[in-house]
Amino acid sequence: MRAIYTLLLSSLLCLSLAVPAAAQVPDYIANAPGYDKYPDLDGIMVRQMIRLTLDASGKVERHEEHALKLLSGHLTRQNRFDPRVHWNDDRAELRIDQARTYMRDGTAVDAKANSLVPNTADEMQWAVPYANQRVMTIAHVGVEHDATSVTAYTITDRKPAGVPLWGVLELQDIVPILDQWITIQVPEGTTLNFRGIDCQLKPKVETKDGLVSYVFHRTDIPPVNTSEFAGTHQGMARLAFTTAPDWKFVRQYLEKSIEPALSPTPALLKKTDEIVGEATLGAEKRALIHTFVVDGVHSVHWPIEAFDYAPRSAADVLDTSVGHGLDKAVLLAAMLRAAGMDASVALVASEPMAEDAVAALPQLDQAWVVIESGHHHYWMDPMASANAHNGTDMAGKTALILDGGDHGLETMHALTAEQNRAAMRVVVAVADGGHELTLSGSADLDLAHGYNPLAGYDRTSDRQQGLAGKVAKVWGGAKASEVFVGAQGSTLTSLHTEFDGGTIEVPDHGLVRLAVPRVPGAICGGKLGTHRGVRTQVLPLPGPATERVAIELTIPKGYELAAAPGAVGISNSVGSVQREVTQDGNKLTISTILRIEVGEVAPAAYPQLRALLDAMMSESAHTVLIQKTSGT
Amino acid sequence: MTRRKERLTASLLIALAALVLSFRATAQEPVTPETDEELRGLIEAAGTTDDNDGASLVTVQWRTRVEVEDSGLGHIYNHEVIKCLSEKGAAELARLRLDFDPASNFVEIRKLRVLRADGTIEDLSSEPGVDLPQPQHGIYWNAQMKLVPLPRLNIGDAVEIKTYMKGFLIAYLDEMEAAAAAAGGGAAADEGDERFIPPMRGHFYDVVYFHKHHPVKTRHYTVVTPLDKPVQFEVYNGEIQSYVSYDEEQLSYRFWRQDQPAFQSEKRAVDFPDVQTKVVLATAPDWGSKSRWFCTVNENQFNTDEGLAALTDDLLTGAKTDEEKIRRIVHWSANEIRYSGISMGKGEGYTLHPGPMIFHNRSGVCKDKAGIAITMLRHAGFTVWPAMTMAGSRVERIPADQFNHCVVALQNADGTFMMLDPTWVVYSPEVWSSAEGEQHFVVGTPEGVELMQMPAFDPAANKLRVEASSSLAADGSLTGKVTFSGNGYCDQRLRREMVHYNNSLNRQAWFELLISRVGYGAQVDKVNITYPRIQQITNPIRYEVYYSIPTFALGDGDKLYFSPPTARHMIHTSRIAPYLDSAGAKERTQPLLLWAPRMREATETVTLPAGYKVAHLPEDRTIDGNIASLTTHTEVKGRKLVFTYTLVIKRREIPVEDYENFREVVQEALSLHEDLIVLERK
Repeated sequence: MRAIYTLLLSSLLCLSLAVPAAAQVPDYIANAPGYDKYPDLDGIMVRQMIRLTLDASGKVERHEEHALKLLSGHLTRQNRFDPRVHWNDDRAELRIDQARTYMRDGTAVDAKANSLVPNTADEMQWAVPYANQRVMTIAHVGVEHDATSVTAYTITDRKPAGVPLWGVLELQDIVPILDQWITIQVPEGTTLNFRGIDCQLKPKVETKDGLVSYVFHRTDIPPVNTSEFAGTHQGMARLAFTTAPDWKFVRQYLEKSIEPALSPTPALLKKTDEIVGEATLGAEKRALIHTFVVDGVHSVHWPIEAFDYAPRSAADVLDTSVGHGLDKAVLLAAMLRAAGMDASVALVASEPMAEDAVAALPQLDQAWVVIESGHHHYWMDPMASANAHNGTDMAGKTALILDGGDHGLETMHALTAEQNRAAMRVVVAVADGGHELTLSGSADLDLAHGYNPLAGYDRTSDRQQGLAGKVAKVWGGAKASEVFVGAQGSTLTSLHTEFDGGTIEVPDHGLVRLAVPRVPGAICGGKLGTHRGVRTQVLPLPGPATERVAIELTIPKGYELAAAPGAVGISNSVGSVQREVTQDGNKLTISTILRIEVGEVAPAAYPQLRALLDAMMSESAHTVLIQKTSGT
Repeated sequence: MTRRKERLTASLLIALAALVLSFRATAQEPVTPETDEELRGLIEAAGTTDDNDGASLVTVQWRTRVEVEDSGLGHIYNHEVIKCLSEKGAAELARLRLDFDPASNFVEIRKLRVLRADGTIEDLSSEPGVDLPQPQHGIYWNAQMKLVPLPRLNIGDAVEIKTYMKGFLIAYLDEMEAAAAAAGGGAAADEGDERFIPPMRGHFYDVVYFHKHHPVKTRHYTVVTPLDKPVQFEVYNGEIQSYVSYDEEQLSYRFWRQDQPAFQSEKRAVDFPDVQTKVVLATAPDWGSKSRWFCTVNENQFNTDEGLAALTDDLLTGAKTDEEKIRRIVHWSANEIRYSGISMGKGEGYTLHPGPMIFHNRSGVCKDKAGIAITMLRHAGFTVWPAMTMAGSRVERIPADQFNHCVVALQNADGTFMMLDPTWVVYSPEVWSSAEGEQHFVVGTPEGVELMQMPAFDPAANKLRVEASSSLAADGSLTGKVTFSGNGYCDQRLRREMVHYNNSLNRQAWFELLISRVGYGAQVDKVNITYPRIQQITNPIRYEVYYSIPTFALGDGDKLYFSPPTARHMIHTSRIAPYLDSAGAKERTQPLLLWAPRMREATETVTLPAGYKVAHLPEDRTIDGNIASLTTHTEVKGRKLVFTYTLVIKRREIPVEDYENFREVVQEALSLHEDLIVLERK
C-alpha cells in the first residue's frame, strides 16, 4: 500500500507540473469530427495508443493513451470518463501521465490531486490474498458534451517477472476509433508471435536500439455492438501476441508452478476425508468434493490472466476459503487426488479456438479440472455446479491439460445434433368438467447432454420429481403423481411421469386455449436474443441440437378444434423444423422436430435461425384452441 | 452546580417519560457472557443449520455500547460472536470487513478469536489485516475498509470480534467552528479528536438495527450520555425491550431483542429502514436546530464567480418567467454536471462544494448538483436553500440524521418552498422527480424549519401513452404502427432507455424487444424519435415504431382469432413499468415500492380484413380499488376495431393491506391478451 501512495504522489506531482497556463488543443483533437458528423453515436475514440515493451532484462512496460470525445450521456453512465486502471502492485508500479480534458471551447482542464482515486474492485473486497490487485480511478474534470478527455498512464514492472510477454488486445470499442496505434516491442533475438482474431493485421516492423517494434496502425475502425455478445467476445477484432514459442512451452511453464501447488498437506487430507465421509462410489466422492469447492470456497470472479497464472497452494486456498478460478481448480484437483483420483488442472478457451493458435495463454480464460478414468474424462468447473456447467459444455472446446504429458492444445469432440438431443412425448386427456376442463396424462422425457438439467450426481430423487412437476404443470397446473426414472447420469436423464389434477376455466364464450409445450431447456429466442432484426456479430449456440416433441391430445366431448399449429417443413443452412399435425376423431397429434446443425450462426445466416425459431415459437406454433360446439 | 441540577431534573423527567413510553416488555435483559464457558454455552445453544431455517451463519451475540462525550463524540464498543453452520457459511466468513473513513473516524480490533467446536481457541488479535480503499462507484471520497482474513472455519466453529470505534462514518464538515456555533457550542474535545466529533457538535444520534441476513440470537445496544444530554428515541417496525437508568453522572439507555430470524427483503420491497425493527435516537431537541445547523455550515458555499455568473446570465437570456428561469437552471445542472464526486478533502460530506468549484469540474454528486443550482438561482435573484432528504424510505420524527440525498428548496414570497432536484431530473421535463413524492425533507434555513413531506403525485402526471394502429390481413399477418410517449417521470424513463441503458448501436434492438412481445418473428421496419438531441427536454419524447408480423392471428382462414397488440403491453421493462412484474407473489409481508404512482393509457385501432365480420368481442373489464384500477373497452366501428385500456397505480408505495387489489389489477392486465376476438368470414 505504501508503494501505491508513493506512486500516487509522484503521479500528482507529474500532473501538477504538466498543468499549462493555456494548453493548446492538439490538432488531432481540434480537428476531430463531432456530433454534426456522428449524431447517432455516443462518442468517438479520437486516438488510442498502446505500447508494450519487453526490455532485455525481462521487465515489461505498458503505456496506454486514449482520447475520448463525449457525444451522448451514455458514455458517462459507463464510467468512461472515470476510467479504472488495474494492475498487480506486487509486480508493477503505476504512473499516471496525463488526465486532461479539452472542453467544448478548447479550454484545457487538468485533473487535480483528488481526481486520482485509489480504489478496489468489488470482487476483491472479499479477497485478502489478492490485495495486490489494485485499481486507480481517474475521475476526469471538465467533462461536458463535445469535450475530449485524454488519459495516459504507464505500468512498469518493478523487476523482471519471468512471465512471457503475452496477451489479447481488443481492437474495437462501442464507439469508432479514428486512429489506433498498437506497438509491441521485444529485444532483438526474441521472437514475437501474433495473430489477428476476427481481423487481418499486418504490422510495420522496425529495429532500433536493440528493440524490434511491431507497429499495428489502423484508422477509422467501426464500432462494435457489445450488447450482442453473450459471454464471449466472439467476433470482436483482437490481437493475440506472445513471446512463448509454442503450447508445449506454455504447458511446461504452467506445470512448474501448478504441480507443486497441488501438494497435499495434513489439513487438506483431513478435510478431504471429512467431505467424502462414508461415500464409496467414485461419482459420489467427485460430487461431494466438487460441491465443497464450489460452495465452500468463496469465488472471486476475476480474469486469471491478472494473476499471471501463478496459483496459490491448494492448502492456502483451503485455509483462506477464497479463490479465483485457477486457485479453486488447484484446490479441487488436489482434493480429488487426495481422494485417489487422477485429476489435472486444465486451462480452457471459452470460445472456439484453432489448435494452431499462437501460444498466447490469455486466450485460455477458464480453469477446469479433468479426471481421467479409463476411457472416460470427467470435467468439472470449480466455479459452478455440475448441473450448471459440466462436461457437455466442453464439447468442441480447446484446452491445455496440465497432466505432464508431451502435448500442446487439445480440442474436445464436438457433439452432433443427434447426441445433443431432447425428446418429450406427452399424452393428454382433456375432459369436460362443466365450467372447467380437467387435464391428466403421462409424459416421457429424454434429456441428453446440453438439455440434461440433472447432470450432477445426487442420491435424492427430489430433482427428478421437480423436473416431472415442471413438465406436468404446463397442463393446467397438473401435478406429477408418479415418476419412474429410466436413466440418470451426467449425459442423460430419462423419466416417465403420470400427472393429473390440471384444470382450465372455460369462459362463457367457450373458447379455451391450450399451450403446446417445448422440452425443458429448449433452445429459444429469449435466451439467444433473437428479437433482434439483424446481427452484426456471430451468435454462439448451445451446440448442434435436436428437439423432438410429440403431443397426443384428446379433445373432450362437446368441444371441437378451433385452431392448431400448422404443418411445417423448413430446411436451411442452420437446421430444420418439421411439424406434422393429424386429427383422428377427437385425437389431435402434433409432432415437431427441431434440428440445429451448427454451433454458431454467422450474421448472414441469422435470418435462417430466426425462421426456424419463428416456426417453433410463434403464437400459432404453440397454441391449440378448442371451442364448445354449438348446443352444448 | 445549581444549573447542573436543573438540567439533571429536566433530563430525568425526559428519561422517565421515555421509560414509560418505551418499556413494553418485561423479558429479562440478556447478560453478557463473562467467561469462555458461558460464551461456549451460548454458541452451543445457537444450534445448527437445521435449527436456524437452513441458515449458513447465526449471530450468537451482537452487543454495542456507545459512550457519548459532551462534544457529541461517540466511543463505540462492539462485540460480536458469529457461528458457522455450513461450509457455505465458512466461505462467507473468509474475511471480516470493517468500514471506516480516516477523515472522520477511527476503528481498531481489540479482540479476535476463533472458538473451535473441538474446544480449542485461536487468538488472532494480533493479526492486523489490511486496510484498502472501499470499492467506490461515482462517489470517490476515499472511504477505507479493514479486511481481516480468518482461518478456515469448520461447522460449529465461531468467531468472536471486539472492536472500538470513535467518530462517525461520513465526513461532513469543513467548518468545525461554524458547526459548534450552530449547535450552540459544546465542550471542547481533545485536539486530536477534533476530526471525530460529529458535524452537529454537541449532539449525538444513531439509528440502531437488530436484524441481519442470517438469524441473530441476541442483539443488545446501550448508549450512555452525560446527564444533561438526554436522548429522545422511538421504536419502529416491531417491538424492542428497553430500559433507561441513571446515576449521578450519566444516563443509560439499553435496548435488546432476541431470536430474530434472518431478514429477507421481498421483491421491490420498500427500503429496509421502513420494515426492519429499529430504534432511532437523538440528543438534538428538534428538526429546527438541524435545519439551522445545515444552513449555517453551507452558507459560504454559494458565492458565484465571473464565469458561472456569465453562464447563468447567458442561460437565462430570453427567459420570460420565473418558472422558465428555474427550469433552465435546474436542467442545466441536471444534464451538464456529470455525476462523479471527487473529494474536496476536509469537509467532504454534508458540505456542498462551492458553486465555482463544481462549475470548473463539471462534476459532482447530489449535493454538488444542488450546490451549483443554488448558486445560479441565487445569482438570478431567487431565495434558495439547501435541503436534506431521504430517497426511498421514511424519515422518522426523531431528529436523527436519516438522509441520503441533497436537494434544493426555493422559498416563495409567502414562505412556502418549491422543491427542486437536479440529480433526479436528468433528461426529464420535471424539476422535482415524481419518483420523490411523499418524501420527507428538512430545509436548511437561518430560522430553522421542521421536517416536511412532499405531497403525493397524481398518477396522471406520470402517464405512459401507447397509441397504435394496425391492419390485420386475411392470412393472419399484421402490419402496424405504435407510438410511445409520456409525461413526467414516464417521459424521463423513456428517454433514459435510449441514452443510459442502451448504447447507440443497440437502440433499435430495444424497440425490437418491445414488438417481439406482440408476436414472435415480428420485424421492426422503422423507428422515428422526435428529439433532436437527447438532453434537450423542451419537447415531450415520442417514439413511433413501424412493424409487421407475418404470423399473428390464429385460425384457418374461415375464422381468425387474435387479441390487439397493445393487450400485450409491449413495454414491460421494470424501469418504466415495475408494476407488471411485481404481482407474482400471492401475498406479501412488506410494502411494495414503485417509486411513482403511474398511469398507462392505451388506444388502438385495428383495421379488420375485408370479407370478415366480428363473431365475438371480449367483455369490457373494470376493476377499481384503493390502490389500482383497470378499465378496458372494445368496440367495432365498421371495419375498425377500437380497443382501449387504462391502468392506474395510484400510489408510489403499495401497503401490504392493499396488495390484493394491486395484484388483481396487474394479473388482470397481464391476461388481457387471452381475451380473444373472433372474426368469421362473411
